[in-house]
Amino acid sequence: MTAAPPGARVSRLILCLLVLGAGLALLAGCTGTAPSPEQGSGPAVTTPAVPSWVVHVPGNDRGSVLLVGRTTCPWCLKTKELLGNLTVDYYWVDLDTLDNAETAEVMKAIRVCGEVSGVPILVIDGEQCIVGFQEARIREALG
Amino acid sequence: MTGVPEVTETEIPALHDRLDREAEEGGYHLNPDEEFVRGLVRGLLVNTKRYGYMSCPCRLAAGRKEEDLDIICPCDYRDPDLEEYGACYCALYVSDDVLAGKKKTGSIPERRPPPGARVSAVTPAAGAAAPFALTYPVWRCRVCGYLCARDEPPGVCPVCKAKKDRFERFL
Ligand code: SF4
Repeated sequence: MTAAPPGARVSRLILCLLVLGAGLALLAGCTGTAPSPEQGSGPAVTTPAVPSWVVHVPGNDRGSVLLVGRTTCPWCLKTKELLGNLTVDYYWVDLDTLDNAETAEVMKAIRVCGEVSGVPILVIDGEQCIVGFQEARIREALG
Repeated sequence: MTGVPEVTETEIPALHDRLDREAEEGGYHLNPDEEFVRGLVRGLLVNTKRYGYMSCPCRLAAGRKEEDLDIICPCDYRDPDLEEYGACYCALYVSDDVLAGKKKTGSIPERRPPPGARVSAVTPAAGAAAPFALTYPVWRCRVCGYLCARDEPPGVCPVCKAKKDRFERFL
């Protein structure tokens, strides 16, 4: 997967900020990293604050990656392990640790996946959705 | 944020042994990967403490029993998934072939329909018209398909151990 050109990343971020609230923008698949001065020549953009209940795992940028899981699900752990092995920069959240308002925010962010019930749910760039520990698909998308 | 209920080290083997015994009695099998199953059993215990019922560890729960009835373990989708993929969605249960190493399984697609398309778990399915007069209503276990003719469904399914509220009126 090739990284989006800096200009495209900035536009995507701006679009996300316009459409969504700041915290939610991140979860909905907008980049969480503020573009550095040398990245593109677009207007300065404030990085949306990452809610404290979202965990950031630093790694290599393969687009914006959000993993939604449950603490009770071993497949979610396997997915985290795989993302770790692939050294992907990603954000994760365990839905069963959230209160109602936080859960509602995440549910909005995973709307792109339709009415999913199973976890893990991986949302890539706010548009691609992989439900379940589908190793081959995850490797293809992020490897 | 909310906390995750504590699970003690003695609770996990106790539930594991019960599930294993009940599975074998009913002709089902737990996944032989003990470490993986341990994680799922822990998840079932956490969900029981959190919701008051054993909601599926790998699915989003509404936290309201009426809405989650179909995903109380063993869920309504276990048997068709065992048949088609050799494992349930979480892979807590596996088929004979998977247990014998004749078939491999992994993460499988989610069979649970979206909320609007789910058969109501609250109201029992309207019984089909019987072609003859019945002395007793016939009840069907939604988990394993066990049928019985009696005034009320049994408290626990004798085959898969699903509770009374998982039965629907069949005839
Ligand atoms: S039987 Fe259903 S509820 Fe139980 S662990 Fe398997 S998929 Fe989850």
